[in-house]
Amino acid sequence: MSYAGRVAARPSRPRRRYAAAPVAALAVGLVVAACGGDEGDAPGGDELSAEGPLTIAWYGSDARNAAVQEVVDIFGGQNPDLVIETQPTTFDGHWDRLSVQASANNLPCVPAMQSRYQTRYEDRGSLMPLEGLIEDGTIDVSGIPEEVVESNRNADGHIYSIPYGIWYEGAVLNLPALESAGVEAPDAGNDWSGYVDWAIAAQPDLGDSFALASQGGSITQFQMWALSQGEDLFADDAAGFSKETLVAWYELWLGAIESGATPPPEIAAEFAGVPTSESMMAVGLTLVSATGDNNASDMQITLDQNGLGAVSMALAPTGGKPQVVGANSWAISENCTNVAAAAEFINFFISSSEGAFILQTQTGLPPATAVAEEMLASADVADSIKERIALYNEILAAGGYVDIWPDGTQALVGQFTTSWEEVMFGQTAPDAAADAFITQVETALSGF
Amino acid sequence: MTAVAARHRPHQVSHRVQRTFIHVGLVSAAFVMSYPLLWMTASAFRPSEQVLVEDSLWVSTPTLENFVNGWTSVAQTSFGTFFLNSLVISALAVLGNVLSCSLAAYAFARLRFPGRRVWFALMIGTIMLPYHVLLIPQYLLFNSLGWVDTFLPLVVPRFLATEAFFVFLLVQFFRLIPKDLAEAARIDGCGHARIFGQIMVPLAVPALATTAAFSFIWSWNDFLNPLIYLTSQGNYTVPIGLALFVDASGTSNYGGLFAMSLLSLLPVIGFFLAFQRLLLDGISTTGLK
Amino acid sequence: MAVTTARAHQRRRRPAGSGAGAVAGGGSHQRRPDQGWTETRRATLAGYLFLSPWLLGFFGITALPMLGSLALSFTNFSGSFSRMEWVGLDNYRIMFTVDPAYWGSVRVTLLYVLLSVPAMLVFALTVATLLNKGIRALGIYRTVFYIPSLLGSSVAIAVLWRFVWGESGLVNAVLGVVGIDGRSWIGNPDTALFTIMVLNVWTFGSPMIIFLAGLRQVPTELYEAAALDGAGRRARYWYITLPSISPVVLFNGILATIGGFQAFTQVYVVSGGTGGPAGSTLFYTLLLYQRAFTELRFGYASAMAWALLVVIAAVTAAVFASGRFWVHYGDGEER
Repeated sequence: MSYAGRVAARPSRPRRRYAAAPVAALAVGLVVAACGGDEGDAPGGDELSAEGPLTIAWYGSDARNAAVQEVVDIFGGQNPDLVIETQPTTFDGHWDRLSVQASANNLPCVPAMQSRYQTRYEDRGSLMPLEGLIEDGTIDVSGIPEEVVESNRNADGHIYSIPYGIWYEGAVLNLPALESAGVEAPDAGNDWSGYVDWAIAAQPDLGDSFALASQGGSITQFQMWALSQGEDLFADDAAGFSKETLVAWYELWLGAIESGATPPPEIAAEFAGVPTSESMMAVGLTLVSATGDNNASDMQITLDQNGLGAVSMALAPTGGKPQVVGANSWAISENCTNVAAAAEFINFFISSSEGAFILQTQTGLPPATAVAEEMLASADVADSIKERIALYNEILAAGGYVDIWPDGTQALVGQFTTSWEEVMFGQTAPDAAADAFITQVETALSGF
Repeated sequence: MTAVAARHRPHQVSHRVQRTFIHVGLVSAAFVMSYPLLWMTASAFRPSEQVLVEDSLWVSTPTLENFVNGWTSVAQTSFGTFFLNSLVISALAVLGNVLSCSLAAYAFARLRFPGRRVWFALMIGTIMLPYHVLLIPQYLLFNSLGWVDTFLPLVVPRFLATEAFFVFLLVQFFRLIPKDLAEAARIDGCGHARIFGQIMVPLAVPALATTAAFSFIWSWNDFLNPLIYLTSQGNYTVPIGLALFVDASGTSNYGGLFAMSLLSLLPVIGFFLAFQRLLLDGISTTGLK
Repeated sequence: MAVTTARAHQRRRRPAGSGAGAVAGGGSHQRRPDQGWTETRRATLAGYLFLSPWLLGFFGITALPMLGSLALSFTNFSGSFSRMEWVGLDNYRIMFTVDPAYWGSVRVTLLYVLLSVPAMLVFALTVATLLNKGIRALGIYRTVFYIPSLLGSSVAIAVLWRFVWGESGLVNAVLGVVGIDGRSWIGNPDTALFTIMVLNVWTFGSPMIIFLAGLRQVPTELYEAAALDGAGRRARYWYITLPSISPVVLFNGILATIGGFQAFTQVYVVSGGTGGPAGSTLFYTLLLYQRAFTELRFGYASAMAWALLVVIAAVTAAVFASGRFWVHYGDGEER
């Protein structure tokens, strides 16, 4: 479609937006490449394109990628005439690659999405609305709790992403180590302030270990703190938390450092960028921490290697308030030429219990209730997985929901860590750091 | 003993002492610098539960499990495929860079033609822009040519001297060569092609060997471009495969990472050793005595 | 003291034509009357012929994306051309006056360039000079010294660097032996940048190899002539070796400076892409990368890139201009 044609096709947007496009496109000399990718209406089942190979891209480490590949191979076995090209890579590599591909309207047919990242692709028109395919049953989501599907609905009213794996962040406790130190485990109904109080009281009995890993730089755990205060990370176009909440958070963790219940600043910073399997909790340096439920097993592997105890998951310290969960999802790209196969693949992936047993929750807990129940009932599934599923059911029953982050906010993860580190090293006062971070949140949400 | 020999001795002794000092200094520097790598090598042969725990170089229970697991850890394909892909791309990069960059360098270093300085400045300018912002425009270009998921975006630019680093390197080395040689040859009636092929290239063998070695190594280690352009697993290169060992989103296989990192160093070291001779002997084979 | 510079030697050598004579073999001089004119035309034709692959690559592959990124720097391009707007100089204004991380990253990068680039070059030249003394086992040393550079951007570097500079790392283990209780080098904002500088010096292999190749190419006749003039070893190094390899010094200096300004991979790998702790290793290009790929603000990142290009170009031009005073070319031309 010609450039002018595309402009005319979307009269709803102000024309001014396009004024610069031809100039830059000419400069790049790639007008053709710059065009394409129409945001149409959500397609229904009878008009689906079915040409070319099915390309699928996802992220993960080698073990996880191998498991997903195995599931894809089963689907390939059921569709012998279909050419499937898989493009697995690491988490960072996946998003770097997708952002370049999206600019050229050359996304894989089925790209893996994630609740913190998907909005940017949805808002940029890179993904196809799926509610038509959901309504006519091509993608059957009836097995997934409605609130989970619905939380994926974009502000524009469309659903672009179908969850295939759920994870949630919670507290992790090294119960055997706590027991051998003669310390009572913290109460799961605590908020973070309760955990810190517990840690300060417990620390004298713990010797070289620290009671608690500092969560000061984790935006995810700060969100739990905000939830416990009746707030949240994001409101519509502004920060969802008050400055007081953030200042209290900084001071909470500064107090924990001062009392010796969490490791000193340099150690905390040294471990900031480390994979879960090498985290302070995993190497036995701390006895209580927080992490994603899917990473608890990584901690366990390292703990087992050194005989340092065992890790159990608990609810996130929201002080009893409903907590948020995250989701890995499948989407169909706007430039996909084989929508029929793409939809069929997604449908297969979310409903196949055979696949779920291969994955063993490496890509998250199965969102389909029937599949999860089948795993709960099976003798082939590890107890730790069953516990995680049970805890997830508890979270859902208590009103937990999939938290989809607004566009432009991904950078806040790193910015939050930097703010906390500046406070922790005494470079910035909590008050000033809170002001600065709230400005960063507003900047991110403004789409600057 | 003759008086002459006796007179020489103090000088020889001080010379020998100096040599010993140099060697002691170099050996200790080499040891300190390579300790982390020796540790990585040792770790590659340790059972996976000891990989990050043990600080020393001693391997109490050597095992090859990391190599076996690492080699086949990626679904559908093995590291053998990645090595083959990396070899093909790197070998073509060497060929392309040596050919195209030396031609351009000869023009910049030895030929006087209008516009030369402007082109030279533009050439240097192409090194200065951080490559991250070029990724998308370049991707648009190669995508419109239909080159995505082929080796072409990684290889064709090398044949067009787009790595200005090497052009600049060769220019500086060509300019080390005394002009009299070429002058004489031209007076002899040689064309530029022959001056280039018979005088400049043989005289610049160390620089060309450097170009070849660096081309190979950089192309071998390149991560972002293969990541963006090579999308299907069968086309992945070694660094993409290595990155899969450590991912924030799942269990990290350090044993496999170290084992495969070690293997991936072998071709590069091999290439480097092979070109050492050229680096070293270049000068003695030329007419410059 | 009767020390002669390399340049003086070249001047002295030319009339004698010692090297040239050997090749020319006393060939006949056939000059046509119109030789001056055809020479120019021939050189121009030959020049563009030799340059043609590069010209093709420049116009076909390099120039358009570069101009494209310049154009994008005046837009809010964020991965979708249909939503792109022209924003004029806004990106540049935000960069210089609003972005809270910008000037911090400039400071980190300048510190790095000023301290670690000269350190790395001096180290590389020293080792190359030692290795050029015709010592035994040269090949082994050269390989060992180069191996750290071979690791490149491997993720293994991140693990290694924590192993060396962590709280319970190698450096503190050594310091512990002499009774010093070291803290985490990599986790402390005051020392984290220092460890990245050490990493840069550690990977000095490439400039070392280039220095070495340059040293191997110094014509031995220069040393012989200097020895006849009675110059000592140190004098020969200062007045012959260094001037002779000055084009290579210029090359390494310029490339290391550009590389210093663009330093990315090592710090990305070591800090896990965060530039931490507390932003103390947030290099310019790391911030640029975050703005481009974490936030998808490609227009803004392009503006950052072009601001950097202007600075690098100015510094490079200054170094080139200074070369007039200290770089001596074998072709006798001073440029």
